[in-house]
Amino acid sequence: MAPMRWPRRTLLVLILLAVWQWVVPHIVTTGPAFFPLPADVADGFTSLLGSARFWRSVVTSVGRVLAGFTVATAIGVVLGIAIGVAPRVEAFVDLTIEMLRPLPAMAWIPIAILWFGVGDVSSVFLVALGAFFPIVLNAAAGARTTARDYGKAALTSGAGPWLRFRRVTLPGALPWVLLGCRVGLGVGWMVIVSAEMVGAQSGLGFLIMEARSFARIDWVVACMIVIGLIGIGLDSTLERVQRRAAPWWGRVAA
Amino acid sequence: MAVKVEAVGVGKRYDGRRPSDAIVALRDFTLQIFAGEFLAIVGPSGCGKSTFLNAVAGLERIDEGRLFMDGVPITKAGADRGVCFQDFALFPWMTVRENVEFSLEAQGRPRAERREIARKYIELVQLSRFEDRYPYELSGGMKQRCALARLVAGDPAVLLMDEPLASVDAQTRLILQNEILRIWGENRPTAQRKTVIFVTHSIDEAVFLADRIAVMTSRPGQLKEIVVNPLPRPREERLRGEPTFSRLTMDIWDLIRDAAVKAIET
Ligand SMILES: Nc1ncnc2c1ncn2[C@@H]1O[C@H](COP(=O)(O)OP(=O)(O)O)[C@@H](O)[C@H]1O
Ligand SMILES: [Mg+2]
Repeated sequence: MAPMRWPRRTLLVLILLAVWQWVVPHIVTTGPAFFPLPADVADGFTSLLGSARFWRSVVTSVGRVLAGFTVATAIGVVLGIAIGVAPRVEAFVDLTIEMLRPLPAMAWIPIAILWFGVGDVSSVFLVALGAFFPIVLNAAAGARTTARDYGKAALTSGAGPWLRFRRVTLPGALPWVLLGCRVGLGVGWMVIVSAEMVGAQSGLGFLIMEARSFARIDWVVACMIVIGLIGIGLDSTLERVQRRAAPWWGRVAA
Repeated sequence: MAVKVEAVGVGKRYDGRRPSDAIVALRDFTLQIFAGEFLAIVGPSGCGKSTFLNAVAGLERIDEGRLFMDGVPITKAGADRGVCFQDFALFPWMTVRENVEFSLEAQGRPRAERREIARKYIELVQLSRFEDRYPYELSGGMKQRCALARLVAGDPAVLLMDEPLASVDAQTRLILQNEILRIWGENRPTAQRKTVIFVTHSIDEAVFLADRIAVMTSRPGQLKEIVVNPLPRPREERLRGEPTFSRLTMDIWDLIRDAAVKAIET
């Protein structure tokens, strides 16, 4: 996302909130239990922020995502780079990856619960699964593209395989790897909320389900907003890392 | 004079998806390049100039004939043949200095020595103020100068240049032509000069720079004629206005005009 100034970024959000608060009540007349207004949600938000349960849930969910993301990154980057530099590795794993990739991580929930029970491990497993594919595919594309564009220059400079790997393949693939991580982290965050709705007894996803069963729809919406905000936070953190680590990425070809 | 690079009956075919798509890029291409010589190759677009250069670099296998450097068959890429690619291929994650140092790093030179050698070449191409900049921060001409410094820093015996000035503006181009002559070693005795194979589509560039100009036929590329350049060295700017210069340019153009026109039309 291009860096924009805050007023312009928030304008549409403010308009939608205004419409929601002052226009929607004239159309939907079922009351706040069914359709909470921004002011109700704000109240729910305040009470939520004051509750230790809420903060524990945030820590739980974020922790699970980071754990799953770390596993996915460790395996995905190594395997992806190997795929990108070694056609034999690619031929070996290609079909398997292509077959597993279209399966939504959610489709694994029954198996995850069967294997790991309800709780942390299941959630981490599902996050890792969801984050893995964007990471491995981007890492592979990065290594492959780098070899194509810069492999000849490295060879004719007399560089041996280790130097080529260390000074060309890895730094060349880095921005792709980070891009894959960014996408993967986003997927992981989406996965965790749904995973916790059915496969866990804690976390923000579980909290949403609980709030719903208490008919606290204002809390449900407040949780949704928090989930969105944390998602933005995670993404922009990685975006900043990406810009720092590879300032040349996306600029005119060298 | 010693033969540095020799091509004997070289043939190269690119296989397409179907047999009928196969392209014969070079056929029976024979050429000798002498040690310390500046040889230019001109020919219609798509005639196989880059293919030949890549084969000499060891980046492309040949299907027929033989290719030697110092009498030894060329089988793979090596630091003795530096390549300057048309699109520069500078490593975007390295600064100017790191790019220039790379071939020295490949030779395993200690850091301090690398620094010193790189500094010398960066000075030679007048990029000292930019040695800590990244390629994306440089203009086209500056990138080209960086690529030239990287090319020569590792001290390869043979310099292979594939239309290195094709993408810089006309004025920068004239300046860089002089820099290339300096890097090659125009002011040194022949024995201390490098061997240059310089592909260009610009005939006056070939005439200004080269000792001999190899003119190729259209695809499949063969040697059509070798023109020996009588212009004296060092080449000075005023030579561009001499009748010999323009006559030579016209003669070479006559050799490739028909093929060049055909290359555009097909
Ligand atoms: N990797 C490749 N695969 C298939 N055809 C190629 C490849 N490289 C070059 N060619 C074809 O071979 C011919 C010669 O190419 P090239 O050597 O690049 O010509 P030049 O440099 O003289 O313009 C062209 O017709 C080109 O399309
Ligand atoms: Mg070419």
